[in-house]
Amino acid sequence: MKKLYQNPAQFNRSLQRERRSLKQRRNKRRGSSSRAVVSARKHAHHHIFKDCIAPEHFSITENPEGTLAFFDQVLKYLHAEYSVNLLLEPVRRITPDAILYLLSVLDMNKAKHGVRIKGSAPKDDFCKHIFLESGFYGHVISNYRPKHDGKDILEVRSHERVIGEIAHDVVKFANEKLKNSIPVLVRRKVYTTILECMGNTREHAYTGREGYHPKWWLMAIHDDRTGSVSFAILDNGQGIPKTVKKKIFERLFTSDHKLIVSALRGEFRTRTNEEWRGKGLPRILKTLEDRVISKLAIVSNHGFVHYGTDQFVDMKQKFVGSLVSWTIEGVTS
Amino acid sequence: MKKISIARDFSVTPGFRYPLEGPFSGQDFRDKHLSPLFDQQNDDSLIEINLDGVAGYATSFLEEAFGGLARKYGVDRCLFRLRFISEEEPLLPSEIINYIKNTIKR
Repeated sequence: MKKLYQNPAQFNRSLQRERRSLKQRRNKRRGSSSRAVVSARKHAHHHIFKDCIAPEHFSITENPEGTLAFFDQVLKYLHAEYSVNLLLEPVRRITPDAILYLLSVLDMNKAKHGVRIKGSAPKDDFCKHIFLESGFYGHVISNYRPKHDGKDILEVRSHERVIGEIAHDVVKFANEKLKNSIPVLVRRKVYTTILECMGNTREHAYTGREGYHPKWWLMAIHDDRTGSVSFAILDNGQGIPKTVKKKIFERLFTSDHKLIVSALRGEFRTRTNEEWRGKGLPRILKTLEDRVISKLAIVSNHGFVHYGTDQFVDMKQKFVGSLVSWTIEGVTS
Repeated sequence: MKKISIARDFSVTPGFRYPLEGPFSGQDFRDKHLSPLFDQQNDDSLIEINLDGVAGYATSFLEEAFGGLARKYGVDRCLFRLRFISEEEPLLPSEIINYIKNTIKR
């Protein structure tokens, strides 16, 4: 039945309503069909493996540019929901931080995107040994039974909470490797450093990062040639520069490495606004200044702070989260 | 004088600030071992706390245990009653006393 309108304005309003309704129905149909296509296309990526070639010097603290470029590529493919083929053959030098970051990145994205990971081991025997001993393959391959002899490498540990017993194990490992030469004061301060890092992950790193759970990754390597033990602990949280309190002008102009140094100096950066907090990072710096630890490096977002090489810069690439690494040396009598 | 050894009476691996963050937290230690001794208003007896024998301390553990105690029962009362001893980390007692003194909010 034909509609009757009292005047042209009423007719126009009705016409506009009809058009709007038609447009909404059309958009709804289009939307659902395009989503289905996108979804099918995304899942279609899972069987395609993209090659990612690791750099020869696989170390975030010693070769940040080359190593983070590799990780950028891995993350790019994982976010696009491709499976990745990690080609580690070229690796000839490695530090614990790179293994930890690789594990944490795979752990974070594998479950989220449902992609598959495969790869090859380093050709270099020592690097291959480090990968095997770290327990890396046990973390990325299901049903893998690691052959860990615990000789020079403390296999990777990870947890969501601050666990003193794990920190204690790491300190005991270091002391044993250095022939029980570490004084009790140094052992206590290394324990404190590990706990501060675990605590920062738990307390600050994941605040406001929805869909992610706090998790830290820890590893130690004994170097018999130098008589030292290197430690690395990291998380994939928001990063120190993002979680510290910033002054108004700093929100626009400051660089990440300056914020990290400021937090280390204890310049009232605590997010909680409570004066009695924010003492963890200053304590770590104090431990370095007291010469208990050496080669302290902190990498977070674009900030790169290395007290061993006096490098305080912002990097082009981004490190997702925060990494703290340091070394202790045995006492020779 | 009441004597408390953290290693003997609580844990050799003290944790972080709150129980939610992990086991053997500073809040746990305060609630189990210190608060009961401060709940009686008229008791001003001394308490000796031995800090040795543990793997180490996070700053948050110490701050929450002792700074938190001062926030609850007052700075002066805590400074009057608590005595700290540590041969393994001789500067630790003065650090804890600073935590107690600096509990007032900015």
